[in-house]
Amino acid sequence: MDEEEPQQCVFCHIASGKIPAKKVYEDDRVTVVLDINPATSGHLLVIPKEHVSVMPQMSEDLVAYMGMISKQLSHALIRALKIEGTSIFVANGVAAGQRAPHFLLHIIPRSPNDGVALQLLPGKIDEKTMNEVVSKLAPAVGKQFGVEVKLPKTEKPVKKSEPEAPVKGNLDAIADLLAGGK
Amino acid sequence: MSECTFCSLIQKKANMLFEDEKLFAMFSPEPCVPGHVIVLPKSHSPILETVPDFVVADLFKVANKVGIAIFEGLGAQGTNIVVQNGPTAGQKHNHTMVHVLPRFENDKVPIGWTPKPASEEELSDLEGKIKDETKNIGIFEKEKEKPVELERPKEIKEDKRLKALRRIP
Repeated sequence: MDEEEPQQCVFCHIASGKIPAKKVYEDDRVTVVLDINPATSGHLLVIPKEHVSVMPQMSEDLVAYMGMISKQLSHALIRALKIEGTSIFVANGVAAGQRAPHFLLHIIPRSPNDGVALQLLPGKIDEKTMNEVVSKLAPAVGKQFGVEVKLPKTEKPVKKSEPEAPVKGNLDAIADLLAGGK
Repeated sequence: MSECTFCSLIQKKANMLFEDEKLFAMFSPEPCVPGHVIVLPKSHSPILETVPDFVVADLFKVANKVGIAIFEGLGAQGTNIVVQNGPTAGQKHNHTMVHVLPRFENDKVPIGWTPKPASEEELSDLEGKIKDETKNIGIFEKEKEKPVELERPKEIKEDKRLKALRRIP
């Protein structure tokens, strides 16, 4: 897929330094720059140097690394800007709000009433929908960890409806969608 | 720390999806959307900074695997992974957690922000300030090896040398 070639990816060029950016940290795995269209002042983008579209395509090692470096960057932001909190945010897929074809991890300085919507307030969910989701997700999580997950108690057993979508195809479609966008 | 709601939920294995020595993954008791999962360190840690680096590494690894399960099991079109670090970031509980949320096209979940262009001056000023604080990052705390119980050699009974030695007057 040509669209996914790093030569075409703006964020690959930013990560390698070919496109200039306000860089605040760099090592052999990531480049961290200031977002030029920030949610709040000091909004950082952690860009892996390796071209990946979404987190599920990353090696476990890189995922672990993204977590550890985010913790330290978040702390650095708190000290540098004398703020009281940060949001660490990842969107995998256009449906989740991802805008670039290259994986980005956002670290957003937070202050009261800053207009950033990441409250994750409890939503209205009916019991039937919840039970259905629980009965589909629990075995899928179990499969990832190679364990059997006992379903949390539900009122009635829920019938299995649609066949599971193969994750590889699904992820490829999501990556393609991203490659088409900017 | 018996006052912590999530420490007691972990103890009760409430809504449990996965656990290991250090971590616990569960369906959120306050779901924002169906399938909202949270991953927590088992040891009580109020903010991200109090979680050791190697546990943060595992938190993200588990959160990513849960995300893969969300794509696979729910056929989701996206996932969000969020850490609310501090009350100003929306953190509501005294226990660090990573949120994983399934997303679907036009699901109208209120997540996001309005980007505002920043001036060159502002960015340069921030760059300097933040760089000062990132000079010493990138070195991570590793898990201490547990003391290994060395197997002591069992009593040597049938060694010929012992017999030979006994014979020496």
